[in-house]
Amino acid sequence: MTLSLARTAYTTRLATLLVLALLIATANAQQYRDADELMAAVNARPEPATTEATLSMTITTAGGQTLTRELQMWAEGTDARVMKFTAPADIAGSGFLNLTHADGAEEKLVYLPALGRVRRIAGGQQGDAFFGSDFSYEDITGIEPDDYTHELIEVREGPTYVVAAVPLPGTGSVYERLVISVPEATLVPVQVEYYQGGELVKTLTVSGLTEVDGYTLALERRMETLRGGQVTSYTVIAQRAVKLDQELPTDLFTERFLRR
Amino acid sequence: MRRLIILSLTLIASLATSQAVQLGGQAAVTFGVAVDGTLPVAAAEAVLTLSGEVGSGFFPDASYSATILAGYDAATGDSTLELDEARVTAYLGDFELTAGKLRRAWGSTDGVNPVDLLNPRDMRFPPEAYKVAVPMLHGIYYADDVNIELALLPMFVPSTLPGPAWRQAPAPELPPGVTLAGILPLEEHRPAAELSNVQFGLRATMQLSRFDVSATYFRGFRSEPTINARLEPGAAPGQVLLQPVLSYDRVNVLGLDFSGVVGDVVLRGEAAYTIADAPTAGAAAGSDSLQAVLGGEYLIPGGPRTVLQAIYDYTAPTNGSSSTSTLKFMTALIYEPTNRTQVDLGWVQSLDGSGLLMPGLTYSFADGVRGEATAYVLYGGSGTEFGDLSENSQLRLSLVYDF
Repeated sequence: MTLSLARTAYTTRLATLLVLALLIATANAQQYRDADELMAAVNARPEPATTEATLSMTITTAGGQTLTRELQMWAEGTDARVMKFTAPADIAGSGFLNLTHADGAEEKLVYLPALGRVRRIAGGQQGDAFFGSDFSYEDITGIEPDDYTHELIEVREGPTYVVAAVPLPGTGSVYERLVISVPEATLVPVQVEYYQGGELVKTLTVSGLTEVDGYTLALERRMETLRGGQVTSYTVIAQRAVKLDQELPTDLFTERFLRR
Repeated sequence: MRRLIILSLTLIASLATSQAVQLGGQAAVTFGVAVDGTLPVAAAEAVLTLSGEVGSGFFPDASYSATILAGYDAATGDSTLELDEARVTAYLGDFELTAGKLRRAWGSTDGVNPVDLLNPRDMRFPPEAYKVAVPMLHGIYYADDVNIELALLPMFVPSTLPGPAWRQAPAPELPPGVTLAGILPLEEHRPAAELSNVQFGLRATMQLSRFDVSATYFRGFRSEPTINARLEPGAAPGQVLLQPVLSYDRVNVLGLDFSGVVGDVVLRGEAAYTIADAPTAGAAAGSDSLQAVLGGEYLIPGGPRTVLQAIYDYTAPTNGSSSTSTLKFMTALIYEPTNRTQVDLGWVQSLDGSGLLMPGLTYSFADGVRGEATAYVLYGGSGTEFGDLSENSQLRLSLVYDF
């Protein structure tokens, strides 16, 4: 009995030491102390000067049926991006141009061949579905770290940082809060939860991380739409034929190219 | 023969150097039923488009497309086989030149575009009047701060008149003791194909602080006829026949339009003032007129995209008739409750109490395959703009396959 108690005390002490050691090790492994430091590092990750890729967008409804869109994408850093649909035939020729000007103002333009006109998208329309998919225009254009306040809410094993991002007033975001998971190893956000009215409405999962020309790229993004905690539909955007740091014509990010 | 061989060789050479030649099209069937039980449409239509690019650089040196349209409407007996839009575009640095049978869109607003003057409309079914491709030479120059467009239309093509059910019967005032014995076939004074009747339009677009602003000038003809009538003696004394006369006013049109983002709203506006030339022999001129549209587009959070527009029409007095003006309001709601479904509602309300309501549903069955259902409900009292056409209220169902 005494031995048993002694053994128990020893075991408890050993467990405590192990936990302490683990905590110290974790603390040592956690490179970023707060959310701003982490997001600054995420933002400082090397990005290609230009990107060209072929994207396939697969929309899956609750019933399991799928719709597929093919599009070509060109981007210059994060300030200019143009997308042109190539299939299916009913939306082929449609395009989307997103520009961030030097003063920080964003310009979003959509071209629909049936109308023959380029249409502007206002800030409040950012939540509109991007060509019938689960991505909205806001989701497609990505997260600009300066538009959010960040708070580190959890550090998971890995370590993976979980950060709450709240959009600043005036950014036009349709979301009240994002919860972003960032593994320290890659500094690529691998999951984003989108909240509206206190409810989780969408989840973005990023996968297929790969090294291309020294850059870490995510080849697949899956956006799920949720209602009452259940996935009602989801859209997967997969990239292929990715070309980085190619010289792109300056005329590419213009209304003129969007119409062509 | 020699010319044909050269043309064939040129075409083969161009196809051989093409980067991408695509063949696509659309097949559609439409069926409609009106409130009085008649079938206004029972049509099948096929559209075939060949398109491609020529050149080896990032941007093509040229591109081309040609569309053939074939259709048959069992309800009206109309059949169609025609070359629709067909064009060749050359990209010459900052200048693009397109020649062919074209459609071009000018203006900023939705549905009603006072400055969109280059193409006539097929108005056989007025709620869905669509633009008709016409022979045109169109150039656009992209300067740093301004885009300048020039369009030349060598041949005048009029708009297609609304179907018989959509026309209002003429009711001429007759002298006492005179009766109307009948209506003679339409007499049309269409501008002849000659150099002096070549139409042209000029448009300049610039960006002013996130607003796109365009100014337009058009010299040509109204594509919709001015309808007059004269009385011809009938077979018996005291009887007359009504001779409707369609003429197309030569006009100068000055237009202005804009679109821009203000907060969460996209504002759009468009206005055109039309000045009709003095009447030519055999045709009475229509009046000067103004049409102006002002509206905004807003996405209701979690709800539909909403467009609200006010449409003002003014016709100046002429030939002793007084001026007229109307004000209408247009609302459009577009909502996508699921990835496959779009629900929309178009609503035009006139101040005379009449209006047109167009609820619609679009469902995507598969990639490129969609079904559409739209109801057209015209309402209002007798003598009102839409009320007199209320018997044309109908439901239309379509199945469309794009390939």
